[in-house]
Amino acid sequence: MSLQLAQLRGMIKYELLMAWRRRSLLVTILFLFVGLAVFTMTMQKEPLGAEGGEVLYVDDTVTPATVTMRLYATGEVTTMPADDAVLTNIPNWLRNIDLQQANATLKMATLLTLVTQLLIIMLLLMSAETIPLDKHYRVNELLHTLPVGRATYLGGKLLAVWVGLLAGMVMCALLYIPIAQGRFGAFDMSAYLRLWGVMLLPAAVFASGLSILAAAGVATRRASVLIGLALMPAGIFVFVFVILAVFTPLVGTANAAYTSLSYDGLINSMFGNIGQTMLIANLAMLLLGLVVWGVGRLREGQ
Amino acid sequence: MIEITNLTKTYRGGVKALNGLTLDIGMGMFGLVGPNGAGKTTFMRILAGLLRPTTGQVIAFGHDMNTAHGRMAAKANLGYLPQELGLYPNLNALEFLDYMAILKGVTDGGERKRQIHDLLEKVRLTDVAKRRLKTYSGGMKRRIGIAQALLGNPRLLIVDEPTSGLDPEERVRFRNLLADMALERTIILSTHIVEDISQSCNDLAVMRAGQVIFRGAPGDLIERARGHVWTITSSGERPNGGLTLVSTLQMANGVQYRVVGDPPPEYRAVPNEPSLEDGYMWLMQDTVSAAEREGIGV
Repeated sequence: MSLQLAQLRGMIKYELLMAWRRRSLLVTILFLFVGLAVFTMTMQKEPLGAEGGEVLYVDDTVTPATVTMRLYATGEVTTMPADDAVLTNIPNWLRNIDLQQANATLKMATLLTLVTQLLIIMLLLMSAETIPLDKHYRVNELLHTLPVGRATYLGGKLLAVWVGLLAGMVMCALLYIPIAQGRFGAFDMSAYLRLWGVMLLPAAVFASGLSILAAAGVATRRASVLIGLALMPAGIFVFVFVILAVFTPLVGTANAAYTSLSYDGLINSMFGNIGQTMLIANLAMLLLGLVVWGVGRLREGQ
Repeated sequence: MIEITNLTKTYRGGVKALNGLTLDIGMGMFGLVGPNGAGKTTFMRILAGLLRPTTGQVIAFGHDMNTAHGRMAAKANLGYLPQELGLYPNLNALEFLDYMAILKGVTDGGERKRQIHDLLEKVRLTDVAKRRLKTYSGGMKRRIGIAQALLGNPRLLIVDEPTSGLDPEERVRFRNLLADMALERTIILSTHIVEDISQSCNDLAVMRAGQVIFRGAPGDLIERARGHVWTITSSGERPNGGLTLVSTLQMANGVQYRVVGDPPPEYRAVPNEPSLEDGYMWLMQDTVSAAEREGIGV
């Protein structure tokens, strides 16, 4: 076992180094960061408006309910009794919370959902060459004469890509915070980090893993790109579920504006759905990994 | 010790690459020669654990290579230099050797460093060890190939056409390096270049059509050709009549042909001292003739 662990560590180290030197890891992370920045610039900041100002807080724990607004005319923040128009626009789940922050957080969720699709597409294409590259460089024959098991080989390839992605994405997530805050204002940091942890990272693991495993048997880089393209429907299929996971609670809550679902409940429901979707997608990917490993064993040495 | 018993390999489509091959290979340098399609590469790939035989058995250092566990154990004792060696172009020699050493199971960092340092010295690549491998010449790549094959101090070293593409100086150096290595391990050297065998092997096998048609010392193969190697000088047409032409030399008085076979008296052939190459050519000619006499296609 210690030998396999040492081999895995070695593979992660040198596969990462090679990915860095051939710029594929850098391109992936830059692409993600630029995607985030472009989506951020194109997304409008839409304040929750009421007549004469931006609604910052609606408090219905007092009677009568009050609304805190920043007046467009003077910029002054003022609290006044909420009229029927305000109460109709601001459903129960948006009351008694910081509306500016909730608004920015929901914007962030929308944006990161779109970026997830971009990430899935890119990784399906970029990761497919991981194993065919060994054939391209003609080192696969040498590698198969070494005492490295098939599971260790596949595991090493996958883990190297995932560790690289994890490092790059953590960097992206941190560097993006000031950009997002500048554009949307303060947002719920915990929800933001959870979006990365529950949606983007698992999506990256899924897309890269699926692509690496599906292209494991092909002999050329060109064929691996074609495999990546062929996997697009699977990527889009999973993305549709991500969209449903993110927006179903939102839409449901908006339609049931007067139900008692809270903002926290909404966010938790959203994360629950995304987590479930990603878990299923990644389990399917791991199942493919088992199939690839099994087929490899059957074909080994024939 | 490598024991090979009744090995056959039939590829999909019915091509029979090995046909009941049986061999024992001990310590030292073992040469494997034969024409294209003789089954040498298939045999080497089976020994390296890259292919599984259709039938038969390979026992390498007591490990049965027909089992997954046996193959893995045999691979732990194996160094392999394929004919077409690929390298990771974005790594330098130190990094590549370190990576290969880890995969070979040299897990101790200090030991890895020591081995890499020694091997780079041996293959004379210390000065360029930090250069990316994509900048290496063909000869340097072969040398890094032999260095990686020797990592982990393997008991069996398989080298397939190691000197092809090398200049004469590199070839001699490479042969000497292999000969040094053969003192403490088994080296199986497969080649088309008979001179490589004659200069370095004390034991050899000649393969043809998936079978071993000769097994013995180079001297024995040379002896087989004694009395069948001739020089014919002619200003006219090239000698024929079942003779195998080994070399042609333009001289002032005509063309001098070195031939293997039994030339008719009118050629006024002069007998020659046989070389290993002559022995090989005679064996091939003799095998084909015997097969033709028996009506077997070879």
